Amino acid sequence: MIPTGRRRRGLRGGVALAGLYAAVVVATGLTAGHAVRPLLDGAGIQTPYRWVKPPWYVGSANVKPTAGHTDITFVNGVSPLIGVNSPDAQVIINLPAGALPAHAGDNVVRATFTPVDPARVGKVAKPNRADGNAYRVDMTYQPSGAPVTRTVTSGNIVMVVPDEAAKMLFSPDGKQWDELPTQTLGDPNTVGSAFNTPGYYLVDTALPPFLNPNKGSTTKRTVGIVLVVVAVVLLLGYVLPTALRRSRPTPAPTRGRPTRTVKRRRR
Amino acid sequence: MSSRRADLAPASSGALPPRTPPVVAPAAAVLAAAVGCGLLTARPLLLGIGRPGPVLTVLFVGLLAVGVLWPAGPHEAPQQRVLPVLLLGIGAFAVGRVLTAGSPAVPAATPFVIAINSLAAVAEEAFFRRLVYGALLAGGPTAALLGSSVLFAAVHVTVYGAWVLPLDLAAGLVLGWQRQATGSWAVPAATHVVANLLVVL
Repeated sequence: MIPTGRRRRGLRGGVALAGLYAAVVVATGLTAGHAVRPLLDGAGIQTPYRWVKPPWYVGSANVKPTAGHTDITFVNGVSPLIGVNSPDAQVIINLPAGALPAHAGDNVVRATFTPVDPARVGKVAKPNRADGNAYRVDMTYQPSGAPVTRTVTSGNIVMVVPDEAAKMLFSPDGKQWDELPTQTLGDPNTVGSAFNTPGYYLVDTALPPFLNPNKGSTTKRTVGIVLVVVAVVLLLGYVLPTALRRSRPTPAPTRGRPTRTVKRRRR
Repeated sequence: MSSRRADLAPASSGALPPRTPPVVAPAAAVLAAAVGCGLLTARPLLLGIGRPGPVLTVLFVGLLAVGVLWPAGPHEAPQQRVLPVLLLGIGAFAVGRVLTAGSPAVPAATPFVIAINSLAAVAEEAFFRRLVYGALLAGGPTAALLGSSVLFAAVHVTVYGAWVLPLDLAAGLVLGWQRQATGSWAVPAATHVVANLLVVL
């Protein structure tokens, strides 16, 4: 039976630690400058956002996105109601029936998505910064290869980004960005806008970048941290307890224990 | 029991050794803890070997096996009932989830993601709150709580970045306290599973 007073004291300690945890969650959320998770492992390492050029805090767990295409086949000369997306599913374009203009001799439109490092396209207007990858969306008639320049009716484009989104941006050539009327869809990391024209799409964020306090090779840093962690384990397991044992006073023999006196010979 | 027998056995010098609690963790446990922590910290490098799913599954199954099968350390009497401690821990992580709402940069809740997250939670708790905590308990409950929490936070730095250090240290303290209060690693394991699912679902 556990005494009630001791139990209450113990629970108070737990409540205090829970409160500390909540405070740290808030503080981290306010200072990190990017999405935080309360606790996650396992698949958390499979970086949910696929970066062309990952930021430092993502580490080497990033899976690079690849370019890909989807063929949209016309039915009776009319483009169908369809949703197409990049292979990483970070960009989705939904087109209503008849959105793509017919083109003589062609009955297929190939929609191609190419993820682009935002550092390789035009800069986002300050103080904002790029939120994830830029994407180049190309649409070409097949088999002629002629480009689709504009849809007949508007579709929509949805982009999933790593940080809280501000605006979706569009550029025909990836040099100068125009703001698009942007809607947040369900959560701050998913935004949508109207889609009329193939070209470059990017989302920006008002969150400041989370700067790397110690720049360097990711692998070297990981190896360094591994060594530090292992050293800490050894320190905790051997060095510290040994020091504690040496500094701990020898307790008096307990009552009821068989006592034996062994006289040492004096030299 | 073996340490008590060793205490009673006459030392080679002829003098009885003083009866002090063991403060040095067994060498094998320290070595296992070092290897496990090293592998967890090296996750980004391990993922370069193969596909994330199989690599993570092998890592966490191995960690779980070592954590569960490792001989039990010194026994700690439970100080609290299981249910309030479990609810307090889950409550803390639920509050954490609410406070971080709007930052859902997490994988989609596929059966695999749910399974691997639950496996990771149980494996880490078996490792940190059973093996590591048990080994450090030789140095006292405070050393066990702090040490296991510090290591728990440290192994996540290479995966999530340095910003996770205070967050996971605080989370480790909550989970470690659950272990200390109930004398069982099953309670922090259940809490960790729920905490992970709260993020994914």
